[in-house]
Amino acid sequence: MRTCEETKATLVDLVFGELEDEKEIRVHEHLRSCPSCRSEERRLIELRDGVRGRDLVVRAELRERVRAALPRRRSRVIRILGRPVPAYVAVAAALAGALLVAAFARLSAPVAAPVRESAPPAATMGSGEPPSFAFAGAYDTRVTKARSIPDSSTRDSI
Amino acid sequence: MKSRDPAIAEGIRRGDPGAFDAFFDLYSGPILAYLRGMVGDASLADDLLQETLLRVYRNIDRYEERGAFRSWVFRIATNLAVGEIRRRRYGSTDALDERALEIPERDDLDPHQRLEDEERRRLVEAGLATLAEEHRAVILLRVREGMGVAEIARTLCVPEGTIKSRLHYAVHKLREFARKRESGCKGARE
Repeated sequence: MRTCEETKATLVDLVFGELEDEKEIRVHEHLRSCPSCRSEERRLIELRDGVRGRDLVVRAELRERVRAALPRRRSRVIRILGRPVPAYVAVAAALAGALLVAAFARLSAPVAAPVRESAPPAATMGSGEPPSFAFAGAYDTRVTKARSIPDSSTRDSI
Repeated sequence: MKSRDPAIAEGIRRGDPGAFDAFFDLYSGPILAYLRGMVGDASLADDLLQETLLRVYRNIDRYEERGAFRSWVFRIATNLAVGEIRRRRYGSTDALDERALEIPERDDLDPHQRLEDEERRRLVEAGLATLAEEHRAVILLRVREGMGVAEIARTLCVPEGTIKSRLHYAVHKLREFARKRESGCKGARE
């Protein structure tokens, strides 16, 4: 049998639902035979119910006030093939696609031959600096030939 | 409440108009009751409720804790309430003791029961006002929201052991307060 002191020490856990089942049974055994502890339990229950209170009714206009102040989130989601996709994913995908298209267009574009006609060979350009357009002439045999000359600065710039 | 949380959180994230109503219906009452308990002032609680709901919307992209939406929402409410309490404590003098008691509540109880409840509620609210906000938050989340110790710990970002000790401390303080009130002890509100 528990003492009153032991029981009162666990009443908070009992009333606030934190007591293990086995202990709860033992506490209830004591409570059945102890008016003093029962009285304390009742007061704790009243206190708990007082804290719990009743449901509150939120004023109707508050709903509309909050709704009107909500940040617009629609722009953050885009539907692709009927499925919602976050806008940042869609933007990232669009950018990646654009970059791919640009890179492909650049690689398959015709060489800027007229410009190269008047320009000196890449290897003979003054200080030996690589021509800034050297990469664009990758398919130009003359440029290819020029780049075949060992030149570390040219390699590094590519 | 929890079972609908993932759908509500996802709806808010997507910007579904219906998600707002679902979120409001499910959460506004509990959050308002919690905030009332925390700050004790009806109109201030209304303002804090509005700010809580707006912050949930503004920050929904930061919410990543699966299954802990309620904790996240109540953490926002708690932070707002504690911030306001501290601001008022150090700013102005119209603090927690001046409590607005005219609270619109459900009107489905008989007058006798209503009177008893009202009396008890006033006593408890006066007792709650004597607690530090960290103790008040724990007892309100445990009793009003029915959160377990682990969930409260997640909500308030403190260890479970701390929550247990705070709960015990808060209950004993409230019990002590009620005992003093019953015996007519002066100075109980100090």
